[in-house]
Amino acid sequence: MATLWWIMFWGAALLFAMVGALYALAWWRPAMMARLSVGQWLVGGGLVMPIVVLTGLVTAAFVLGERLIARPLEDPPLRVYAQAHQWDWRFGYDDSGSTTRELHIPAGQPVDVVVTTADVIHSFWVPRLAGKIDAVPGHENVVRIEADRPGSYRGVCAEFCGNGHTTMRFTVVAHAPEDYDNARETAFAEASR
Amino acid sequence: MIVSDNVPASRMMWLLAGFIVWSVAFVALYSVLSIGCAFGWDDMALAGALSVQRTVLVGLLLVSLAAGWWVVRVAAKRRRAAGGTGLHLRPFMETAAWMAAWAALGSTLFSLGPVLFLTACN
Repeated sequence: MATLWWIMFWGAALLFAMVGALYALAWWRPAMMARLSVGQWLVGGGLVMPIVVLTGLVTAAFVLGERLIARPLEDPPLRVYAQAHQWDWRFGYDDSGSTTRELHIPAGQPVDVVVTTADVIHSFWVPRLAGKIDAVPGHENVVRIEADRPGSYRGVCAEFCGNGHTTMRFTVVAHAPEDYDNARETAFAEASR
Repeated sequence: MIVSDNVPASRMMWLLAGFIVWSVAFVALYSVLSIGCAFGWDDMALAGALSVQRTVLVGLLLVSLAAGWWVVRVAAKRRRAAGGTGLHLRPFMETAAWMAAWAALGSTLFSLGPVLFLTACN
């Protein structure tokens, strides 16, 4: 997801520099700017340029969006469960009846997060790992995430869900695969305390 | 046209017609997409790899493009009848309506065309 952010950042920076350069030219070299007619400026700056920029952004968003879709893999990825409620998260796992306050995943492999809600609509968003996915009452939405390396990744609720929305944060902790089971046991023990 | 001229509503309407088609098509495609996914149309094969969902969405896209094209034709005819030629902005209202119709047709293809290749249901 960070890729799209960087594409937009550098795209915006480039456009900003371009507009600045045109402004400077209009100021210092008006004769150079006058070589193009008003109509050419309107069509070029008002039609051609936005079409190029929008097409680029839309294409990038489509390609990255398609990659987020949790398609069946030959080797089915680990499934974990994220349940939202006002105003906190609970995380569950297939092989255990216990839940944790932080989401624990192994690093370096795709993980499917099944997102649900106990009350209103929320949205699961870990900016560094994937795009947003809504938690809709009565639905199971799946988002595929993958952490390249062990570490803590901050997440937020990305859909306004009431007074506590802004504090409805959570953390995804990615562990080296060999540490995963132990780390999760510790987390279960902490959560039940 | 001078500023004090009254512009009848029928002339104004053609200025909006293209984008009304665009907005109706947008809402229709968006709702049918969700309805189709909810009813599992994506898993129903119609012919080979072509699903019911894809067929319905592409069908709606084609209907929208046809409607947008019809507005372009009518706007062009009204402009010619009013004496407009080339890329001159005269008569203003009819020319603007004709250009808006083209813009709406382009927007329809740009914003709804991806139903041809994007994943329909997650």
